[in-house]
Amino acid sequence: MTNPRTLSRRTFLSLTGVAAAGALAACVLPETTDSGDMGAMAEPVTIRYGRHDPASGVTTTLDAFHEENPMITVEVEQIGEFHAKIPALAAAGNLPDVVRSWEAMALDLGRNNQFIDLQAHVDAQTDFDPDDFYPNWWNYPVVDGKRYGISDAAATHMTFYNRDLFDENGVDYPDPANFTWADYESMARAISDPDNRIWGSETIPVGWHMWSVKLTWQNGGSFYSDDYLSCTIGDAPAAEALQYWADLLLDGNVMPSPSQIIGIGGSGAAAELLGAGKIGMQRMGTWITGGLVEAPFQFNIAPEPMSTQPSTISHGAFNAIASTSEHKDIAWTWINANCSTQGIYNYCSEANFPGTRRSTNEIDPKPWVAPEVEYEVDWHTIPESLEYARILPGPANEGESLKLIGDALDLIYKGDAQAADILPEVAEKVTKVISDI
Amino acid sequence: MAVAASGRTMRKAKIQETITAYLFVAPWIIGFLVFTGGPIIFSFALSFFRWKVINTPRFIGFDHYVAMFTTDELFLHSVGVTFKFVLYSVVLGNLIALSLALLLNQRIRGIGVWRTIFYLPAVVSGVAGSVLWAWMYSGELGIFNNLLLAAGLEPQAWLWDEQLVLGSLVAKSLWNVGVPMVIYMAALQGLPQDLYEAADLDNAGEWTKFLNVTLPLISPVIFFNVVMGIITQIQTFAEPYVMTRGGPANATLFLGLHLYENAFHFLKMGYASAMAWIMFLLIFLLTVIQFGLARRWVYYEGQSS
Repeated sequence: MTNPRTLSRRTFLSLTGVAAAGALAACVLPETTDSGDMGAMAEPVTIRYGRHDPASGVTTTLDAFHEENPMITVEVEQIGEFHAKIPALAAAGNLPDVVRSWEAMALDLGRNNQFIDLQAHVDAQTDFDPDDFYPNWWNYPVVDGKRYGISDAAATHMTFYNRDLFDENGVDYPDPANFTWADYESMARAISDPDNRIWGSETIPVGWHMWSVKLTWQNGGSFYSDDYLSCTIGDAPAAEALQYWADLLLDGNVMPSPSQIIGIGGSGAAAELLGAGKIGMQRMGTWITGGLVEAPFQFNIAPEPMSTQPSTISHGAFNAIASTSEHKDIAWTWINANCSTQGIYNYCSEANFPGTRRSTNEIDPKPWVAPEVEYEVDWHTIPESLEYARILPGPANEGESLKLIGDALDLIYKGDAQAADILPEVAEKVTKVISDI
Repeated sequence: MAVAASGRTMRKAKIQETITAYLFVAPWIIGFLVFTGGPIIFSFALSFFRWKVINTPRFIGFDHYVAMFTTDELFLHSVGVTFKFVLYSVVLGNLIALSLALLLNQRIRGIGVWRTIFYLPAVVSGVAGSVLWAWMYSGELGIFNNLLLAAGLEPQAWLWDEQLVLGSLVAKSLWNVGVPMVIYMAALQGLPQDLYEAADLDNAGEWTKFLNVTLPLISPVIFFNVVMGIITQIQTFAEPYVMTRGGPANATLFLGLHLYENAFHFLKMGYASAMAWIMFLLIFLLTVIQFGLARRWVYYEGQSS
């Protein structure tokens, strides 16, 4: 007689098989309904919104959106290891409906048909004002007439300086209206006191290649042509700018050289030197403002120095719709809300950046202003920089291209090679890589 | 009749038992096929395709294998870096592991505590250990530079100096000798004492006994540790990825890291797959060579000389 509370081996195996089948079935993605037409939406729809940073940045906008669109749920997915996981999700055909993608990645995914052209949605949205966006940001995500994203917030690189160190050394502050590289160098030399481990300028880790692109812009050069099909880093303006920085770096009396920095924080900690009061000027993204508020000195902000033209890096992201999305119209509804004047402002307030819409930057309080700072700071220079700032380049095969450029910069910044000697050859190799679309 | 029926019943029971056995191992087999076997086959096929992950794969034959030895300036460099690292880390690692095993094979009070202490790093993950060592090598806060400063010496750029960085990673690898050390200890504890007694009768000293008795007897274990060490160290990835990202100036661009960069930074998945197969062939060839050479120096008991 079988004990009813024990299982025979056969029964156990049968149940195990059923359980395994059930588990496998549960793993299969549920079919989603394609609402297609917003007007015909008869049942609640959920869309996925993928981004590299936490959902807290869009909480306010999400709450307002859900209240206004009770039939739509936007689920935010924070995706770590963004550069590797987004392509993997694309390969699996499982990109979120809306992806907030970095600059070069947006263009690359667009070129490879992973994102849809948003221009038709923009054109159909009668209350959408493209002229409200800063032109650089509006025009960037367009390849062959197709628009692969809408921008939201942007952080630009500025010159942050330690006013106390300037005062102690009797050095005039940078002139926001006309700050040149010659000014920067002379100020830095006047402040530098290597024996006491104080320098006028920040240094950068050797090979931090994206840092160097702004140097070339400020000297009228660039890493790439405007269409990203050829590399121009070997041209005179770019090579001169990079060599100039290398000479300053190795000089030892302007910024800590690679050997000098070992004992004062290591290459990776260079950004902390300003906060520690060890350097006079730091060219850096506006996200460091929060860290300087508590610094034991007064700081101020100036534009980045220029040689032939004002320029700097502007870093942000684009909201795009995956071509595999089954809810493209709804996805656009979310993008339109998230990238509206108020939507961008909500995010900016969380991140302390300006927006890529001018109207956003007119709302008070200004997100990039730290209210706890009681002394005068030239906050206005931050949104002004968006007028001339350039967005990080987005050539095809960017990773491989930056590896080639970075390896060359390693040699130049260490004094093992002259920019003019090696960059033309590097430019040829990079051109081959980026033109292989 | 009864015998035939009994035979059928037994066959049926055996078939059922076989099916049951397969059902029990099925999760592992399915896991292997899906997560290991499948990707192995897929990567071999992929090595003949140009695939950027986000576009459609295109067949290109042996182009990737040719490019590795003709146009990729960093491939042979990364193989060289890897081999240099393997040479130092395996040789030094085994010397240290054997030395520690000899020391920890003594009958002294509290030996268990010492054995645990020396084995502990082996249970720390590669990434955690790498982060820890990166801190120790740090320019300002690192213990090594602070020791140098305390001794009145100049601090060193352990991870940023091309001349030092590979040695720094080799030193870190020596921290992880716990596993070969335990294997050596097990071998040492299984050595027949009569040979040592015979050596004592011949008035052999400790060094003579070590060279002529201990080493030959544990040579199969040395061989095992060397083979496993080479296989493991050729695939080194976590240390350069976490501590140096291949720098400075590609001085620590290991083959595994170069492969990873091609796969996940450059999105050249087909090329990275081809590189993985070349890595496999290198490991395979080195292992075959070692088995060939082993006949000359590895002693197995009962084996005719």
